[in-house]
Amino acid sequence: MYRRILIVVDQRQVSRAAWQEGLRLAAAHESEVTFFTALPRFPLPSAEAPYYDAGSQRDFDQAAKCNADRLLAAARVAADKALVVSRGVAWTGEDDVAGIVDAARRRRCELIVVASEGRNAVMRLLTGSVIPGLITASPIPVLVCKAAARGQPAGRATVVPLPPRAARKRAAAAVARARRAPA
Amino acid sequence: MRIGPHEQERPTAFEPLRRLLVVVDGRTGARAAIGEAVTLARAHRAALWVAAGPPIGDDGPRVVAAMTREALRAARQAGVLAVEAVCETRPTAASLCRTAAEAGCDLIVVAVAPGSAVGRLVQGSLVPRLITASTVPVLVVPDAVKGSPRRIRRPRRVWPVAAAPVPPARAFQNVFV
Repeated sequence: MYRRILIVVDQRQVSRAAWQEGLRLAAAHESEVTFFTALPRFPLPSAEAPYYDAGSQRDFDQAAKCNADRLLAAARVAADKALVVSRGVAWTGEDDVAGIVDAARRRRCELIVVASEGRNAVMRLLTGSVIPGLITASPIPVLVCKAAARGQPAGRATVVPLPPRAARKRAAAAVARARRAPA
Repeated sequence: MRIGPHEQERPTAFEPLRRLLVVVDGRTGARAAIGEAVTLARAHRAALWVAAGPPIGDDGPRVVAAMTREALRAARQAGVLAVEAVCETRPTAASLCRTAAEAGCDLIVVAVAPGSAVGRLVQGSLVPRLITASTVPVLVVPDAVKGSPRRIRRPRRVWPVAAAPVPPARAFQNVFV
């Protein structure tokens, strides 16, 4: 179904949830996986910001590239273990969301997998998360994963085999209760 | 040398999706989510739970009910075991996530309307709340108007049925969570 999947990886621990979920899907669908990481941007000095010595831009870029290569190599090792064909893309630019969408379009990906730390929507906007922008800009489905991924055991759902008439009555009663209940 | 998937036998330890929950609201864009969920469920031989989302507008409940029936019909036509999840509370993001967790769903599928992130926040869209509240992955499907409708293709390989026993279809006439 999904022939190509793009997985957004970064240095956060929660990013591994996206790897695992994306690789599970890729293994099930025999998909090709593209690991995408955005390189950090060199912090420009600002008069109002506290002093932070990031070194020269060249050193910063080299360190960022080195970290990204290491991250992508680790992700590709995980893909190899899952017997999934993979490739890595390190991207640099101003707009991470545009970079992800563009990479997905260029590689004809059919799914984007991204990890979420579980903050609320306002915090996602304020902290510059790519998730709100991806949901807005992506023309393909976006899978948002968390650290506690699937694998939860079945819970307390009750399957009630009923004759159709009784089933309709109980369903109508449940819907009526739901409508009466406060929000 | 890298090992491709066709050069070595695939391990059987991968985990297929067992149950999916698709949230249906009254918008026409929800059909994209239904199609995606049905395709995924068929590829994984998973059961599909159809839950009604918060209705939109005065005519919302009727439209949601019609779309739920449409989703069930589409799933059954595709050979997917589909049931309607009836929540005993109003359909909010928290109640839908609770339903998904209690039903043991591996994935929640929801459609998103076109608009900006701030607009979704202001309008009280379900999608950001679901992403926040859900403990399982959330598949956000854009409206079909953004691109061409996805074709439903048959999977290249039929995967074994999930380890968890699935009751026969007759028993799934009504499911109360």
